[in-house]
Amino acid sequence: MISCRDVATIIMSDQFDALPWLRRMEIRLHLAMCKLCARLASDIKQLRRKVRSLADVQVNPDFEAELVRRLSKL
Amino acid sequence: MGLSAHEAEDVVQDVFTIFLQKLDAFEGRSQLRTWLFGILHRKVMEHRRAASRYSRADPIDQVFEDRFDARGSWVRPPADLQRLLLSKEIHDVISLCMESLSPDQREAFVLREIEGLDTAEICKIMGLTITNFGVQMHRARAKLRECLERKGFSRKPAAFRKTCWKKGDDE
Repeated sequence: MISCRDVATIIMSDQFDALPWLRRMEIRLHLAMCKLCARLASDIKQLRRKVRSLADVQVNPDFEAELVRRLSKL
Repeated sequence: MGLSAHEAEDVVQDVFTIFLQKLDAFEGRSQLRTWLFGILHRKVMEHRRAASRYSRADPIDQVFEDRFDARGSWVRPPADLQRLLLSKEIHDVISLCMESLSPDQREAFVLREIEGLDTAEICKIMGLTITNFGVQMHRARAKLRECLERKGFSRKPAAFRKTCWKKGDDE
């Protein structure tokens, strides 16, 4: 039977999708029964959403004009 | 050849990929089997070099292991981060915690979580095997998790900065 350590390692390593179907089912079953591992998996999903919103970087207003200027020199 | 089953699968897949890419260059001067083993040898050497680069000991590995007992059950379970994740300061906290990641860990994490690239693309860009990508992601997430948990339990931002995993701790 798969342990919490194994499940946590797979979740944290982002390797779930690469696993064989049977192994994925085993992990899904474990997550359905283990509140602590389910919490870890849920937190990682939420953290991903929060981290993605960090990508909204404000660039300098002159960025586009400067880029066009540099490209036109090529 | 000193590889785990998963690593060996990675290497063999690489060998067949190269085989198909370079089939036209095969001149028949050696047996096909010899040529294939030659590719295999070079890939194993590359894998070992990459493994030594990416599998250096990182203190976070032990921190993660210490969360479990000998049977693999939680002894220090993941703390409930819901309140912290929903707080206004979460973006600042994540940015600060990300400073604790090594350049390789941060690159893998950003390409995956922010840019949304798939594993194969990231491995190609970074020159990693799937196994080594997993190691980088595991360490990145484990460090962020430890850092966020400390933040979740400390009331003052200053206290957080003192207890947070610092840049350079893993070097």
